[in-house]
Amino acid sequence: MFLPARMRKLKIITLDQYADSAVRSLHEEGIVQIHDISERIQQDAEWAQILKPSKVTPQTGKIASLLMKTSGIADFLSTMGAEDTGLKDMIKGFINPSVFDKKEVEDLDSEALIERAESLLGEVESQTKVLEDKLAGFDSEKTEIEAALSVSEKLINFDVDFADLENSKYISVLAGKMPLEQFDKFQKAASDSTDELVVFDTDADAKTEKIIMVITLNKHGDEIAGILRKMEFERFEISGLSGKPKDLIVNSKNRLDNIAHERKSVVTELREVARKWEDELLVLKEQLEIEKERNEVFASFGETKKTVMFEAWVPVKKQEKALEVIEKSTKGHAVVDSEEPDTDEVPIVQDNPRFAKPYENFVEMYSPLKYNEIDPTIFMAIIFPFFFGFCLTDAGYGIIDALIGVVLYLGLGKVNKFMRDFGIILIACGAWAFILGMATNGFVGDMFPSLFNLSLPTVIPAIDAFKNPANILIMALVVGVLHINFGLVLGAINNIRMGDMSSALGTQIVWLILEAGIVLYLLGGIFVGGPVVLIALAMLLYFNGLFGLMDVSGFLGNLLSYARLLALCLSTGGIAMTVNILTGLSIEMIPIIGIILAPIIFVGGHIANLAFQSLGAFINSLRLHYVEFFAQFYMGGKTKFEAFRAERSFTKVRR
Amino acid sequence: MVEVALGTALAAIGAGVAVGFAGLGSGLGQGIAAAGSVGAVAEDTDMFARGIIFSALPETQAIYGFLIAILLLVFSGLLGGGEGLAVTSGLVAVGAGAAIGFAGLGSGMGQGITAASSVGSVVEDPDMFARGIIFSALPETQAIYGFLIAILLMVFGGILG
Repeated sequence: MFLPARMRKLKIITLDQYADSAVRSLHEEGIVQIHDISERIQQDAEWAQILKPSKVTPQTGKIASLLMKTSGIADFLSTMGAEDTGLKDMIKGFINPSVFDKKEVEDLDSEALIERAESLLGEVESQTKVLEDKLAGFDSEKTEIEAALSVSEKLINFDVDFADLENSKYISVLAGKMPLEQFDKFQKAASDSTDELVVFDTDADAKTEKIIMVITLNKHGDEIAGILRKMEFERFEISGLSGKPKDLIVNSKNRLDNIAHERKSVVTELREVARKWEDELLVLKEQLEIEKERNEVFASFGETKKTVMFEAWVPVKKQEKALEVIEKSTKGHAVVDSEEPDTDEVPIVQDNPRFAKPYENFVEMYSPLKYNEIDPTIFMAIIFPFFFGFCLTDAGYGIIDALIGVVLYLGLGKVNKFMRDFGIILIACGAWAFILGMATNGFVGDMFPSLFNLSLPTVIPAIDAFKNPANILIMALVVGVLHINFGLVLGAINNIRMGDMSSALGTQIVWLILEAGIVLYLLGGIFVGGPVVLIALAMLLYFNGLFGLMDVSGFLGNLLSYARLLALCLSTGGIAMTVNILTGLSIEMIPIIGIILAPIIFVGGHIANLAFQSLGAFINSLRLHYVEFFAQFYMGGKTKFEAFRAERSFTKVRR
Repeated sequence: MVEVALGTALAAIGAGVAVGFAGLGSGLGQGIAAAGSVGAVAEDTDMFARGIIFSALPETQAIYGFLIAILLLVFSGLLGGGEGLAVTSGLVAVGAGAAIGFAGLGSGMGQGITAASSVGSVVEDPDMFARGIIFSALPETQAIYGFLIAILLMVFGGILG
C-alpha cells in the first residue's frame, strides 16, 4: 500500500500454434505488460544462438489499412452527422451523458475479421461514395463560380461581354488593378512603347486604385505585360468567362444558392447514412484496433522453429490469474518461469486503497515512482483536500464545489474515469472547505452577519479569519512544519531503505536535528538548544559543504511558503465580503433598480469569486505538494506499467 | 469626516504600495503566461485547462500583497476600527508594504515568463506539466522573501501582535 505493487517478470515459452491463443487470452484479460525482447536477442550472442526475433503477423498490414479506411469513413460520417446542439443538450450531456450500449461480437480471428471489415466497408462505401462525389463536385464548382463572381464584381463598370475579350490571333487583353499613382506612369510608358493599344479605366472601390483593361495587338502583348508588372499591376483571370459582368453576377449568385440548396439535401442523405452505420463503424473500428495490437505484439517476441518465447510483467497479486490464463489458452503446452525483477527496469503499478486511487493521477503527473520508494498517494489523498479547504475556507463555496463533484461523479463520471476521479477529489475538497469555513466564520464571505444579521454557531473565535488572522498564520506555518517534516521522514526512510545513509543524514535528518535544536533553544535556552543547533550546522557543512549553509534560507523559504494558506484564505473571504458590501450598497443606494440589480451582483460576483478562488486553492494545494513536500523525498523512476489490454468501449466478446 | 492619525495614513500608503506593486507584477506575469497559453490552445484545444493553471500561477504575488495590505488596514485601525498607529509604526508599515510590493513585482513577472515557457513545453510533451509547475514555482521564492520581511517588519515594528 505504501509502496508500488510488487512485480514479477514471467518468461513464457509455448508451441507456435498456441502463441496466438495465448496472446488473445492475455490481451482480453489485460493484466500483464509485454516486455520487448527482440532487441536483446539481436544484441546478446548467447540468446541469438537459440532464438531469432519474431515479426508482426502477415495480416498486420491489411488490418492497419482497413483500420485507416474505417477511421476515415467514420470521421467523415461523424462530421456530416454532427448537428448543432443547444445549451440544454450540452447541460444534459454533462449531467446525464448517454452511455454506449456495448455490442456483443464474435471472437473472430484475423482472417475472419478482415473478411467482415471488407464486406461492411464495401456496403457503407456503396452508399457514401456517390454522395461524397456529389459533394466534391459541388465544392469545386462553387470555387470556380466564386472566382468568376469576384472578377465580375471588380469589372462591373465595364459593359462588355467577357466572351469578346478572349485573346485571339491578333489581340491580347489584360484586365486588372493597379495603384492610382502608377496609372499615369503606365499610360506614359505604354504610349512611349506603342500607339497600337487601348486602355479603359474606372475607379476601384479603394480610391487609391484603378481598375483597367488594356487591349493591344498580340505583337505588343509581352512588352505591355512587362511594363504592367513593373507598375504593381494585379491581373484578373478573365479567360473562360462569358457574358457581361452584371449578368454573370446575377447568374453566379443564383447558381451558388442552388448549390447550397442541393448540398444541403446531399448532407441530409449523408446524415441518414451516418445514423444507420455509426454504431457498426465504431464497433468495427474497435475490433480492428484490438486485432492490430494483437498482431503487432509478435514483434516483441522471440522464436525458434517450433516455439515462441515472450516476457511479460505482472503484479504479484495477479500472477496466479496470468498463469491460469496461459495454462488454459495453451492447453498446458507452455513453460513459464517467474523471476524477481531488476529494480531499475521494472514498470510501476501504483497500489492504493480505493479512496486514494483518484490522487494517483497527481503523483503520476509529477513523475513515475521508483520501484522501492514510498508511494505518497495516500498521504496526498488525506492532505490535498485539507489544503484546498484551508485555501478556500468558505462553507458556502465548499458546498457548491462538493455538489459539482457529485454531478461530475454521477454524470460524466459514468463515461469518463478522469471525471469520476475528479468528482471524488472535488467532493473531499468541498467537504474540507465547508468544515474550515464553518470554523473560521466564512459562509459566502460574511453573508450571514452582514445580510441576515445572524452569526454562525460553529465559529471558533480564536480562528475567526478576519478577527484573528495572526492565529491562522500560525496555524498555516504549523501545518507547513508538520508537512515538511513528514516529507523529511519519508525521505530519510527512502534513503535508508536504499542503503544511502549519508544522503539520509545530509539531506533529511540534519533538518530534523536543526529544528529540534531550535525548539530546545526556545524551551530551555541557549545552553540546551545551542549545542544541538551547532551539531546540525556542522552536519550541514560536512555533508553539503559551504553551500549547505545556504540551504538554510531555502528551507526557511519552504516553510514560509505555507503562509499562502492564510493568504488565500483571507483573499477568498475578502473578495466575498466585497461582493456582499456591493450587494448591500445596491439595495440601499439605487432606488427600485437596485433591488433587481442586487441579486445579479450577488450571484455573479460569488460565482466569479468561487471559480477563481477554487482554481487558486487547487493550484496552490498542488504546488505545496509538488514543490515543498515532494522535494523532500521523491526520487522518481522511469516507466509506468502499461497493460497489454484490449480496450473495449463499444464491444464485448460473446463467450 | 473621520480624523486619521499620520501613522495610520502612512500605513495606508504601505497597504497601497503592497497591493499596487504586487498586483502590477502579478498582472504582467499573468499577461505573459496567458499570452503563451492562448497560442498553446490554438495549437491544441485540450491545452485550455492546463493553460489556465499556468496563467493562474503568477497570481500568488497579488494575493501576498493583498494579504499584507489587509493586515495593515486591520492593524492600523482603518478596517474594523481600533486605535491609530504611531508615526514610527506608520513608517514601518510603508517598509512592509514596499517589501512585498517590489518583491511581488519582480517575482510575478519572472513567474509569468517561466509559466509561458512551461505552457509551450507542455504542448510539446504533456509529461512536462508537473515539472513546468515546479520551474514556474521557483521565481516565487523572491515573493516569499518579501512576504517574510513584511511580516517580520510588522511583528517587530509593533504593528502585528
